[in-house]
Amino acid sequence: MLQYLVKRAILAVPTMLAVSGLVFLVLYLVPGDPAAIFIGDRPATPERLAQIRHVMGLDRPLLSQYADYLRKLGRGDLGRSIHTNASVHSELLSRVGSSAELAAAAFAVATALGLGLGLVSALRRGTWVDAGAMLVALGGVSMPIFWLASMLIFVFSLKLGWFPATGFGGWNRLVLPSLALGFISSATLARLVRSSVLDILGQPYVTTARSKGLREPAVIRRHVMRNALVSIITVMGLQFGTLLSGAVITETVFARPGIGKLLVDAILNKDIPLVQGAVLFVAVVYIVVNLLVDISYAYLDPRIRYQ
Amino acid sequence: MERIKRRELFRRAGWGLGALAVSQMLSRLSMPGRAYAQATGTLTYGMAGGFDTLDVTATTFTRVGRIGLHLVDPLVWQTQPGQFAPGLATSWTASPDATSYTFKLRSDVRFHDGTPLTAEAVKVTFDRIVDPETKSQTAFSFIGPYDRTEVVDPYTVRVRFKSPYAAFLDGASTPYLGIISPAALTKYGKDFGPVVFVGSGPFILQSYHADAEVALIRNPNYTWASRIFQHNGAPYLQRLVYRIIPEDATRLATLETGETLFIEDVPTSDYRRLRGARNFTLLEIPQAGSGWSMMMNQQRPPTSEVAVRRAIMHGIDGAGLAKTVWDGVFKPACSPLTPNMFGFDSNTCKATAYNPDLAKRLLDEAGWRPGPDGIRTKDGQRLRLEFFLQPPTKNQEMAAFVQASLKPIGIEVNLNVVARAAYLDAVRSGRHHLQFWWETGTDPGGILRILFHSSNAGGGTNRNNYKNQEMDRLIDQIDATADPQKRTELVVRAQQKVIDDAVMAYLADPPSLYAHARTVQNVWVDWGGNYPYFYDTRIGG
Repeated sequence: MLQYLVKRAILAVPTMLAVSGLVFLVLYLVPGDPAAIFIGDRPATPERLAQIRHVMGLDRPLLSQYADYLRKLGRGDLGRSIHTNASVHSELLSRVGSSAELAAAAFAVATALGLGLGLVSALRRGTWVDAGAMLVALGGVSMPIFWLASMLIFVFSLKLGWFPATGFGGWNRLVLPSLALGFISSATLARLVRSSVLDILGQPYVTTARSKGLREPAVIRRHVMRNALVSIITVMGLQFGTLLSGAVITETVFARPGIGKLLVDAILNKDIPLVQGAVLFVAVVYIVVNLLVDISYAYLDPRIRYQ
Repeated sequence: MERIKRRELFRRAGWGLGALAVSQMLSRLSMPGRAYAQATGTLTYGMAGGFDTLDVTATTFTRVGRIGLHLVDPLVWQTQPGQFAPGLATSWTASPDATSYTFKLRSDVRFHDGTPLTAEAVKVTFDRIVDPETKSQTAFSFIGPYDRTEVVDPYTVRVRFKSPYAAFLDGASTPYLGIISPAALTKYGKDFGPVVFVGSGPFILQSYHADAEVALIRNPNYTWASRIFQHNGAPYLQRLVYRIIPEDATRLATLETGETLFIEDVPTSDYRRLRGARNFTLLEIPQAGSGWSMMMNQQRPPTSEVAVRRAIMHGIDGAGLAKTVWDGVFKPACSPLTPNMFGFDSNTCKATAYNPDLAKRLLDEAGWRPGPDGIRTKDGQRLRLEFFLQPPTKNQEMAAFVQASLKPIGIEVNLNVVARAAYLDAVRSGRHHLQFWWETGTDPGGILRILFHSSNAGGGTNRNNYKNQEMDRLIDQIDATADPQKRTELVVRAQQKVIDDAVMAYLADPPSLYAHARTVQNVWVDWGGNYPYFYDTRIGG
């Protein structure tokens, strides 16, 4: 197992190098001079623009800029944002807590709702329970999150006064955003759970288990869910990554700082070091989550063993 | 007595307990409603967006000025257009040619780190603004043709300019030229701004969480308030907390729930409701500067033709736009300057009035004839304009209104809604015919220079690409003239000139809209409407 982990960690290095190289290249291919974007609608002479470009290190050849970036990265230095002058490291650090908190809570909501709805509708297939559960899931898939978020604020904050509308820190500030975000992502999960469980329910080994006289809850737990989870958990892993880095709208409506918002702003400002840092962070999250997903396969399915 | 089975008993007991638990939970959940309301002494401010740095001398954002004005002291305060009162400077003199200013400083001022304010601090602050390494933005434009600062004695300082700069006092009254602690600059290096900020203002930075919150705490040692305020000594508020709440509806909701006591950028759609509300006060202050307007690129046909530009100027229904897009809260604009600006010429309202018949006549006379679909053509060329704009909804609504206004007079407008990078790329390289502008500031010379001076054409802020020697001379003269009477005449002439040349189309003048709980008393706002200042503020009732 340890050997496997070390191997995966080593394999992550070229992945991250490729990610950073690609981001660097893409940022240079899209139109817009970062210095001109920085100046924006302020007056600046061409000399002033050239000075700013020099201070930002943009007047050097592309390869030398990238090499310099990698050299610093090797020392653990992610550089400084060209827009805020803050170190990329601290920019990420100041958002990661809020993002992780929201992602974890929304993930819990999504998992509970998604597994619950999916399982219930599969087990009661064709009944009104199934129809009801899938209607909720359909609502989740089609509802724009900004609308749901605004409605939650309107009802639970403005009308009932149960929760604060904004901010982060403290469980009561986490309830509304995690409900909004969790509900939306539970919908996909519920539909997936339903189809996977239905698929497994039709397998001969389920019939065998039942004919052995095993009670239904045990059949579901030991034979159905365990097998269905192998495909479900892959999607859940990917969803966690999205919840952590792609919750821009939720973060904006509920006024929470977050990695998603940071990344979008950095891209709009063409803040190259900050985009690089944030993308690397997201890549690491996906690599770690995928690793956890792979490890959980072995736990769920005894046929899979990592040597 | 009916016998209840054991299982049934447990079931009923379970329901009972569950109901009890739920009711307990509900009552607990409703408690935070009061728990998060604010303690007296803390004013929480709902801010409409994030920003780059806390360093007022480096930022691009007006929001940083709003916070920063509490952290620094300006050299002077501007009480009325062109009227100044002492700040850190007790008195000042300007050389007759407006190339040098001498300030006498207070000797009792200490920065938040305990070091005293001296002439050297002024020099360090200003020298740093022009150092490219600072990447200063707003402050850099306010410091104008800065040459150097001379320390005359520990409490006397002389600021010199390369060319006459009558607008310097205006710049020095903004938070962006507030004086910062040299000792703190040395101590914190690159973290000065992104992490810490040390000035001499009535509040001290307590904590800063980017994209979330800036907390300030009162400066107990503050005894150097300007005499324009109602008291001297430490501020009444214990804390001042700026929370970043970008979504309009959410920001307004926080005011109504009591999470914030003061908010900025009240959406115009909620204006009437808040105006009539019992618990809130709406502050509506006409914003100084240049309202929403449209630049027309003179380097690209057909907006290179004055007749086409004049037709556009008369072809847009400003009153209709203010009513449709801005709910009647904004006022139709007449001139590149808002009516509260020094030197605003009210005759401009007649000269730029909406007149679609005149617009059609102008185009007819210039040889633009309506084609089969109503859009005009001349020499086989269609009267089609490329309008570049950024995505915010209000931009798109205004642009759609302009498009609909110009179509009946035979002008086709194509809207290109693009993200910031692509937008700047297009308009800086002059691929546009039309683009929006909005500018806030209190000095007319500075505004006119940004919009019309040829030194800002060809990729700068003058995206009209208007190059006119007479106009350049007028703007340079405005900058060099300190006498108010002469300055007014020059500003009026400049407005008439740009209207004669139909350089831009003026759309709507916005007010600054703030709302606060009625319990908040004594908020000072500068006459330009940009900086609510809470030094005298108390929370009562």
